Amino acid sequence: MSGTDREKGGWPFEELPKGWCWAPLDLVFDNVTSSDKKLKQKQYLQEGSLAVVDQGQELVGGYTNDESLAYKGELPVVIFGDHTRCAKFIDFYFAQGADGVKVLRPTPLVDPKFSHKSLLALELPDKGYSRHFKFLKATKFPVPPLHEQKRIADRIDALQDRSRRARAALEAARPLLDDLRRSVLAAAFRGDLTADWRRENPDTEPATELLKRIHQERRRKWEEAELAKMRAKGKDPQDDKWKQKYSEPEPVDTSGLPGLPKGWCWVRLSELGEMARGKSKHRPRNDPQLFGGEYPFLQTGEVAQANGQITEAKKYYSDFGLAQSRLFPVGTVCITIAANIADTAILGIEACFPDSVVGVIVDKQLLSPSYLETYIRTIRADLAAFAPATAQKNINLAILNEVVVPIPPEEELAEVDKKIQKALLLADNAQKEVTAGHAKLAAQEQAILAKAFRGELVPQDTADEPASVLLERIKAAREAQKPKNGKRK
Amino acid sequence: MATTHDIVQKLWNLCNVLRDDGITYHQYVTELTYLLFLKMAKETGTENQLPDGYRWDDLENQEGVNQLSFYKIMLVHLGTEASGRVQAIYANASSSLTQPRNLNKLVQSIDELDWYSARQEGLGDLYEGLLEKNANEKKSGAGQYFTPRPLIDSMVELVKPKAGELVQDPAAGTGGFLVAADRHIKEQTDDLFDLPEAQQKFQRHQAFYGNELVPETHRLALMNLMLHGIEGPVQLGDTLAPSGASLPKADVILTNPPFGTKKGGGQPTRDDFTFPTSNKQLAFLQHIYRGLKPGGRAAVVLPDNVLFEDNVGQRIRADLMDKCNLHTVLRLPTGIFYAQGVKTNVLFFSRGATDKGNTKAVYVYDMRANMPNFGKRTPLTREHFREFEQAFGNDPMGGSSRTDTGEAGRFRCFTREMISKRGENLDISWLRDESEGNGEKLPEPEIIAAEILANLRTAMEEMEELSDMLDNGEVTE
Repeated sequence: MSGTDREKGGWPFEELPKGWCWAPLDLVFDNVTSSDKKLKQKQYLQEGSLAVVDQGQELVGGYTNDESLAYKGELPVVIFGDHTRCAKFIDFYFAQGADGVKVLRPTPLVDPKFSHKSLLALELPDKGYSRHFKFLKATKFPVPPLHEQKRIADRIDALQDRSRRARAALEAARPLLDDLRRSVLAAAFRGDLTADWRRENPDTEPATELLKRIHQERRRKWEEAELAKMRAKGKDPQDDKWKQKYSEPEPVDTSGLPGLPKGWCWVRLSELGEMARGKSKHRPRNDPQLFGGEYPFLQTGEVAQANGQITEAKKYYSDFGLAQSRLFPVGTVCITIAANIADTAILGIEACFPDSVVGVIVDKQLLSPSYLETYIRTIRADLAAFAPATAQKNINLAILNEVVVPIPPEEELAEVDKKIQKALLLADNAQKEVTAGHAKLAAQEQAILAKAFRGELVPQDTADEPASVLLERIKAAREAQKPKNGKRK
Repeated sequence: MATTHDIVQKLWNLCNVLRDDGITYHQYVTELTYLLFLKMAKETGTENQLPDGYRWDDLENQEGVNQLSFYKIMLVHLGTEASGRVQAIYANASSSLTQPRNLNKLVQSIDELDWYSARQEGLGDLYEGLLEKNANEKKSGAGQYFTPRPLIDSMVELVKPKAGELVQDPAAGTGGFLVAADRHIKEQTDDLFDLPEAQQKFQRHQAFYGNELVPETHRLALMNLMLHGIEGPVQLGDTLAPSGASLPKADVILTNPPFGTKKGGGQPTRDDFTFPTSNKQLAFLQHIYRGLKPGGRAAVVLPDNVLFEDNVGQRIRADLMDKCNLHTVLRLPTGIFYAQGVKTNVLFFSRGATDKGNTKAVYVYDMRANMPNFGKRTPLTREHFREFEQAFGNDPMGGSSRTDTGEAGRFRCFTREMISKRGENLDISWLRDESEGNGEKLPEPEIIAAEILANLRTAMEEMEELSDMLDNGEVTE
């Protein structure tokens, strides 16, 4: 860009190609913006007889039935967004939308389509949301011979057809990536991803066996603990009646649940390990005594924002804080049960949290923390459905207790985790490709415009009348046309 | 046909024998083919087409190491010395087997199979069953040559080929359409017995013909056809090369040209097309509507881009609608092909007596929106086509009385003018797809991944073209 002449800055060339000339904005466009015939955004309709064009990215912002607002001048025009810097080519009748719309009618100096491309090629300084039209007014426009303008505009259109197709393909991929992730996870929890593994390892111990053993182990531990408690009180049981106090977990009612592959079984969330609410008994909750120590303390919101893994804390409990709370170990799966329902994250650090978060310390024989976290994330929408439709959505522990998780055989578990990680990685890579594609496309589109405005896109024809000649004629015609009252036509 | 199924399953399990030898799925279906053909020739009493000393019993009687060496010699001999069709089947045949005991096991198993209940037709079904299983195995890539059976059957049912008609498939693949058309005619004529001798001969030797480009696939097509008693000229050839112009004009064309726009394989080199294009499906479309006799009819499976591509695509569609009555477009559901991620349609049209204004209106049936996600867990069946078949009507020329179901229904009528106004764009849809993003209703991951890949590929191709155009400054269509 020629840095010395600020007026001519913003164009992608150093020297004006042969036969081209410079012209100020008002010789390229007539500013025919209406100051009173416009429509506020909240007045837009979904359908109507007249399209409303504003400075948004969409060609048409909305519709209206108020014909009195229609632009009555000649078409086509170019609409320039004072704030958004967008430029749109409009060849149909419209009403001006909202604020910041500048309606510019191309003069006979320029081919209308070409004039639109000029605005696309021009680099205006980005002043955020403030107005840009003044920069436009200060800019001089490069004007090729008229015939060359038309050739350039046609050529750019042909090229943009292709880039439009590329863009459409990339846009189509975007929702598919989300679908892919969800589909992969759904497939993982149906056992589809490890179907081959099961075929090759037909004799693994089913999860039900493991579960049985775990139940037995828990019962045994409970009996030990009860015995120890009783003995501490000086009592010694004479018979085994006290053992009946133990409540064996009910078997899961699988009648409404989808079928599982061989060896898998449904297990209640509460049986997957230890499940407990966070603690923060003291009031007021923000009592300074509680903080300033070295025990990480997490708020509910931090679980949602953690993106699956919590690696640092913003606040720290003191010893006093710890005493009225509980420090959960690394690997605990945190599930929110208020505000943002069922957001999940795994503790990468030990931490305390309030009772609006439930921590699940999984029995690693049954499943890994990441398996559980991923599963809850997958069924999250269903969980939220259990919260009463109140302003403060809450699900309670009882509901969470009953959530069932599909558990694969122990040997298959590692394989499932592996497959999930691999598939999600592939999805991430695909995402990167799409993003890169968009970037490349944007760069290509700029390159097209740059080339056009360097005069390299189409061959020049020396027979074309140089632009300066047309410019002089128009200037002369304007002078002659000036009505006596000084107003523009 | 439970017995046939058992045999198919057993044959499929025989692949484990070959897998020990390190043989791919595609290789072994070819291997099985060589052996099955010999056995089948014996079962159908057609061994006289095989030279003496090179028949099933000759192979079966060999022992140990000798069997494998004899087998290899046999393949070469049949590929060079045998006559006509057999030679075409064994042309360049070579065995992938290296272990004599594997061949022993194979030959023994095949010999032990209960052929009694599987007569000639049954054997043909068995073969098609094998091909379908092969297509189902993603890794073999053979899926790209296999159009799902329910789709073929539906198309044949609607187009109604008749005895005496010339039926062409210019992209024959493994012969599915031709076999299905032949089956349809046999059902109408009591296995051809209703026809006079000369007509029977015509059906057997001339009625069904076409081209297949890939030698391995051509072999399978020939076998498939032979096992169904079809001996028409299906050549190893490229319809898009100049030789393709010499295919005789047809009364009926049923086909599914290959998908994909691979740059490898080069441009269609035929010079008799009015609209030269590098898009293979557009090229096939031209071949097809130009290859129909006046009054002839066609049903063709084509991807979405044929319906909306601008420039030359637009001109070809306009030409098609002039020269032919394009009466029906069926939008197919996704996930039904083994080449996943493709969006396809069936175009039904008939060639007019004149060359202008033959299409007055096009009926579009949307079988794509709000359909189950087809895949391994939900296979496509004939039932899924019933509603469409009813709407299509009984007239194979598309002339049955039809009702526009309105915006809420799947079958709507669009006049030629309406289509003109859209730039001849036939990619028309009006139903809102209500399948929401619940994990259970999502397509399987491979299908979505394939679609993403296809989109990325399209974007990349377009951008590459764009780069080329920018660099070379040339205008390509």
